[in-house]
Amino acid sequence: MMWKKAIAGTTMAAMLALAAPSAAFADGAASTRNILLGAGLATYLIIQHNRKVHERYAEDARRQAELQSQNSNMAAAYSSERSAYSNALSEIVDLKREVAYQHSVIVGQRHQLAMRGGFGSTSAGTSSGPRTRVAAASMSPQQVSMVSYGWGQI
Amino acid sequence: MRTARAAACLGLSVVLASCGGSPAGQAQNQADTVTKAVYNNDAAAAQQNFDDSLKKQVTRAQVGLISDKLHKLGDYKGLTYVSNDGLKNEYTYRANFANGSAPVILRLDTDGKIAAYRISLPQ
Repeated sequence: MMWKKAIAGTTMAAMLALAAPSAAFADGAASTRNILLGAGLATYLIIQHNRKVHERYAEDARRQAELQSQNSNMAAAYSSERSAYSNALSEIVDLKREVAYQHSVIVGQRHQLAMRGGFGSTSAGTSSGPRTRVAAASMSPQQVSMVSYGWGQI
Repeated sequence: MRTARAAACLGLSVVLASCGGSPAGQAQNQADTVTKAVYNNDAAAAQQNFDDSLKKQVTRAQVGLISDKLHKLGDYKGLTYVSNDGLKNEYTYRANFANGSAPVILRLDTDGKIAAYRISLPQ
């Protein structure tokens, strides 16, 4: 049992060590960006987890209400339906938060693009140019390149 | 009597014209003017409200390049207000076109002149 725990711990440490180099090798700005991205990802995962939990609660309550309804226990069925409704409301709130978070990420990325100096941001930025990662409707990530044109720095 | 009335009307018109509306409205008008001018490949009109340092950065080639990219989005349909940052005097709008839209960010200096104008477009 102790061996299993030790192996699991070593695997986890190895996975973390493999994930670390991208942050460790980056320069100051990139490191800060990686930390911010990590914090953002954590927030996003928490919001998504909460939504899934509320979704599950709503499903359970609805199933229970159906069973109680079949057993002619109307009061209990009503109570369960109410509980299902309340969980569904919480789910909607979580979805709204998720959308708001995704919107803030997009707005932030657009702002970052606009902040780059020069006429076209590719000339002032890296050789590959700034790239915004946007999730398509199918939820598979798709690369969309945006360039900020204009004059002056925002 | 008639001359006095005409003079009063003229004076009132001048006062009203000098007001120019709210800062947000003024910024939107300026952003719209620049976007239209760039769309029409008119470099002189595009920079007429730019501050002195920004005017030096504008070239006809750059205006032509953005104009070509904007035309790919179709006919220009005007701007929609998105947000503003009062501390930086920055205004964000969405430029609407027949086949899409593009975010426009405008920064005004203390004199109300344009200190920065940027539009994000697909590469």
